[in-house]
Amino acid sequence: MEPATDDDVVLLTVPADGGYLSVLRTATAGLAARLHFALDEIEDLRIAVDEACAMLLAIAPRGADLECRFSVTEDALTVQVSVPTVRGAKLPSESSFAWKVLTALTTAASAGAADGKATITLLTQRTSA
Amino acid sequence: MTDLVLRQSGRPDELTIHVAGEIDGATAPTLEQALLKALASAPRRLLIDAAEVTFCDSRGIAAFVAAWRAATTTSLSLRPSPRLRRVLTLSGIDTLLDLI
Repeated sequence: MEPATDDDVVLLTVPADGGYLSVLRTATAGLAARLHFALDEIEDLRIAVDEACAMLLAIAPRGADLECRFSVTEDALTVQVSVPTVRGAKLPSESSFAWKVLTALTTAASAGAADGKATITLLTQRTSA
Repeated sequence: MTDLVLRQSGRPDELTIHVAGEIDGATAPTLEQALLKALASAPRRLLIDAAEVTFCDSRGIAAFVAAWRAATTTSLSLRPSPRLRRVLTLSGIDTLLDLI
């Protein structure tokens, strides 16, 4: 799921605070609309980004930043969100209800942790013509 | 940032709470408190008019479910927007709630 190098990339960093998730949802909807995603696809992706960020906020230390990387290709949008994590914190397992929601709403969802950071990657391919 | 607007109307025993805007982790606690406060006076009926809700995530769903649990003597119904209905259906909660 590593994005190709010639994608258009949009980077957005906000405080890791729930009050800023509406900003990320708005950016997500704007980029998905540029790709001519259907309204339902945009809505699903908005929810997926929101739920992914909420999972990350739960394990981020106070005062941290939430980094969001949108990678845009002709027919797909990849959203990668990451936060530094508090020691010992873990994302919900991939069998949890929260993960089932993410995988139901996107083409592919994955998570990783490295160098004290947790990252969730969501790929949505446009299904409409 | 205020993304959620709440308004109450109706008589004491037949209340309507109008919900408009976005329900997420930041705004769901406000919604849940308002619903529980309205239910605390044990009205005969409470309609949650959410026809103008433009976004709802799992924390929003949890707020509606909390209201359902608290509505022991109140007839509770929910008028969802198309987007909210979609979220409730996706999560399977639509069968639990009295949607109109």
